[in-house]
Amino acid sequence: MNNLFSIFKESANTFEGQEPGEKVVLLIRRHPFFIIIRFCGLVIAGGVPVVLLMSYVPYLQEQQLLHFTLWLASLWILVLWSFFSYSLTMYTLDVWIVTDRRIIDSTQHGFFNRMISELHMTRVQDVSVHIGGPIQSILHFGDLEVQTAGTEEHFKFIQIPHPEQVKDEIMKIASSQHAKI
Amino acid sequence: MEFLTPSLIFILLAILVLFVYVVLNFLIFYHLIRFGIGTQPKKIGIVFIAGSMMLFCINALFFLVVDFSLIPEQLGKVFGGIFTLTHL
Repeated sequence: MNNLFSIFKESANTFEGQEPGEKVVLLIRRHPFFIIIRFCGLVIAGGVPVVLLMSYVPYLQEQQLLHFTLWLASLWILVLWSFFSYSLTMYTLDVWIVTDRRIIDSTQHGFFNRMISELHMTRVQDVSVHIGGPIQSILHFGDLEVQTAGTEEHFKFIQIPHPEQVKDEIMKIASSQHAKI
Repeated sequence: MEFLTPSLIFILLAILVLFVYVVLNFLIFYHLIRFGIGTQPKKIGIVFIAGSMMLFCINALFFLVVDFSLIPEQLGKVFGGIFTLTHL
């Protein structure tokens, strides 16, 4: 039983396909701003039936429709809850993992569509950061692009928090990997 | 097709919606627990499933106290009144 609950307390950032001895240095998700914005939208959408109900309670009671309206309102909140949970799941499963050997990009597009790509640190040549716009500057988030030695597509971290710190960390790991070769 | 009464159709639809809801909840919970990296997704999964159960119970309670046989008539009265006012 203790083992079962340990996943909520002490789960090292292990992932599928992790090599023996490979250490996770950074586990990055998009900035929480995007999920907070969605949450605010849903709170407003969920608050509408509550406000309407409160202002029409005597009338609905008189018309014997109070219970029916309460049922509809709770159904609406249930739908919003499921919608928000779905968004939160997609947000949580969309991750970039920086290990001491490679960078892994795991993108979730719906329940059954997942794309995982990886880049070895030895192939990292240059890392650039792009922070554009007042919101990104105030909240310290932006895009980070990793350029590789080959002609393959560039590796992109989209709207991640503190991209400069992530860049420094990647460059540090990449230079130590280059030194080993 | 005489056995397909409106109340039976309503019950079948309710069962179908419930089935879709349960499958959706299972998929969300499974993805968070199975594919989530670190402790955060697991905690979110537990909060989500607890919230879903609570909201479902509240919804089921309201559903049980509603007398659906009265609803069409009551709605007719309310919307009939509104339409009359609009027309005037």
